Amino acid sequence: MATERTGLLIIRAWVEEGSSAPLRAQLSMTSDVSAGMERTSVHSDVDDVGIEVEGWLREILRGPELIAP
Amino acid sequence: MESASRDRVYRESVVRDVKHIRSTTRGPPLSSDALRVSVLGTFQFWVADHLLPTLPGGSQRLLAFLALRERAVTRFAAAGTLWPDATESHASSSLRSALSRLESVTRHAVVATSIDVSFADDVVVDVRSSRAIAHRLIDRDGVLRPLDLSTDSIAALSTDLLPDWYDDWVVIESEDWRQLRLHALEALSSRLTDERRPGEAIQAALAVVSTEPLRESGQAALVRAHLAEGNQSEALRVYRRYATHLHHELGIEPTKGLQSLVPSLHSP
Repeated sequence: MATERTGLLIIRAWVEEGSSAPLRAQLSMTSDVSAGMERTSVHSDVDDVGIEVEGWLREILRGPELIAP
Repeated sequence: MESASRDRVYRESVVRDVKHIRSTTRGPPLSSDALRVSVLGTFQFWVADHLLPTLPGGSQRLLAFLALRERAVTRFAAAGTLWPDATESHASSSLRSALSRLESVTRHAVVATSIDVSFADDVVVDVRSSRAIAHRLIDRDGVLRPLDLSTDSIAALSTDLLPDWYDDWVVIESEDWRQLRLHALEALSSRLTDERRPGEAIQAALAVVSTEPLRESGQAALVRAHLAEGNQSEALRVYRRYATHLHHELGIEPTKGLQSLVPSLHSP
């Protein structure tokens, strides 16, 4: 049965032409939208974005009592 | 330092430069008896010069939804969007209930038929006029209106759409508006620089970098505006502040394109 809690993750991504690492990915996320956005991060590496998304999904699975501050 | 903390420090630095813009973000309501709905920043419903007290949540959601739609929406689509987790019959029932609970003043703003719902033609919605300004600014071949190149336009483009609302239909509209307004503010800054109005060009560019510090086109617009005013030291300060922030966040340097804009970087 689904819980009432809903997480939200927004990735704003764009490319900075001419940069040595052209990807810009800004993540805003929460594991419970009723609490608003809990944190943001920025990355220029695709793998780092993947790791961040995976961590957020695992937080959703674990539930609020185990989420790191 | 945590990424969020660094970002906060950077934004606070920019906000010190831009604080005089924020106080003019939302202008006074129209002087006529028009109904006016604001979705930039917090939700507000104005009747002439009077701001209605906070409306019930259900009424706010329905009115905000209609404010974001330029045309009439079928009841089926409105109900399915506003109550996505409900069954079709429950969503339709919730829409009827929300319409019936509108107070007399707000009910005048809504046209509801058996088929669809929309705002009445005379309801003024802030984001609609701001979008129109944005599109005129971005269209290099378009015809500008007299006030398009003004601090009023900077204010109209400086606020996010319902930033604390997380419904799917709001998040998508909010991101769409964010991208549009950032492009428009950069275009506005460029046009003001071309018009030899660097002070206002700086304000427009600051509105971009305070929203999105890592957006290099915004930083470039700010550097150009300072140079147009003859302030190389300010341009250099902006560059160094951005370079420091970029290094802390991502461990990289600004592009050669941005570096080439700052003459002081190439001085012997």
